[in-house]
Amino acid sequence: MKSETLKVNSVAVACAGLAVLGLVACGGSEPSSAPAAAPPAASAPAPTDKADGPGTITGAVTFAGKAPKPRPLPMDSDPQCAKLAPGATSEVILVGAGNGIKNVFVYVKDGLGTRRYAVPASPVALDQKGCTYVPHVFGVQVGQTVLLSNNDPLIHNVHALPKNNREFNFGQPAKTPPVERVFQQAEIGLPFKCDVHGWMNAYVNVVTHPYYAVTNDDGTFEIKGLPIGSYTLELWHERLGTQTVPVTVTAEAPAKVTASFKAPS
Amino acid sequence: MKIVSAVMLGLCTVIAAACGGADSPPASGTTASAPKPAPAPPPPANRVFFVSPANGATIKPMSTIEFGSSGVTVAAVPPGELKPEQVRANTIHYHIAVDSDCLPAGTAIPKADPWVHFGDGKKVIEMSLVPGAHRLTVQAGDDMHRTIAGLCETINVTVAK
Repeated sequence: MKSETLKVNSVAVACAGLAVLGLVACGGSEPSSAPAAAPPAASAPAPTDKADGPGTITGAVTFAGKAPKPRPLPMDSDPQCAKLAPGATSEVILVGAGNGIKNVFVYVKDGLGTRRYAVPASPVALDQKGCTYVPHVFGVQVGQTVLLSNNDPLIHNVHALPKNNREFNFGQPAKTPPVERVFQQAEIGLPFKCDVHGWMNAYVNVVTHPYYAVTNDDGTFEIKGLPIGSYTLELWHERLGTQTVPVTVTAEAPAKVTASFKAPS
Repeated sequence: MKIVSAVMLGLCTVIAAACGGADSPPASGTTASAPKPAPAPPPPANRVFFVSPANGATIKPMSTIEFGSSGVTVAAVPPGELKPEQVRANTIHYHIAVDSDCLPAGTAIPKADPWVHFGDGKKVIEMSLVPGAHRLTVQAGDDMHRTIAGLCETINVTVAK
């Protein structure tokens, strides 16, 4: 009787082990590309700080040297795209008036201490229009919804390739509704790509606070509502790299920042 | 006690059969009693298929689609421009098309609507679809995205409202 009990128990143990292995094998074969349905919001402490400080940072980011000519996007592989966006050019390095660089993401990297900010209820929109992502570079807060829409009469897919967040990849044929996604970890320069149209790229920058901006056509930017204090700004560009700038914010006048990027060697 | 043992062994068999390999075709059934050693299986035919959804299934407007294959190696496309002699034999990656049929063998799969490429060698995607009837096609391509005879499958699904 005792030996039979042992035998049953050992079968049960072996089977439980197999079940665990089975679950691991079945569920974990490709976790990085598992569906990235919006995960539940993190159970963080309630926000306590408002982004209504008296400080402002204004600035301009310029390109050092001769501005490169915008490169035509190779849309020939999809005639529908070529028709939708004739003459479309790459947004990788866009230099405008005064050699200002567009699409530099500027954010407060350090200096906010333990302050916490509410997650905006309104989503940030990313459209697929004319076989490009609009906008090409944007920011969002941790936990804030990104609303991804396809306004083209053809299929795209949105394939996010994060380092800190969960990878996702979904197809979005024409006339399908917008899709919501949420990032739960801060991450700068998180790339999106389309696996139908290889030239389509966008970058989302996920930060923990509302103090960020993307430079305009002429390279200028403005960040409002900062508490008085000393900060470190980081400037990120998808091709030109990053740099940090110290800045002191007062209530009297906007703090001014200028920065310049060199062409990649 | 023998009954308990039999139940546990049966459970083990079901778990093993249900899980299968990552690239195994969907199981058509399971058997609890297999005392005799199974004969060696024939070499798998080269094919690609949908692991999910099943042909004829009704699915949600946003559903996970997974591919599988047998007899071939699935791998990411090497970076850079390849010459025909650099194409790896019997090595494929997947492509999916919505409401489109298989392309003829030897066709270069266009980098265009309706073909989503899986040049990274992966096999899962979520797909947003409007309600109604749809055709889903998975087609293998070699390292130069050329279709291969017999390596394509089309299924029909209905997307619920």
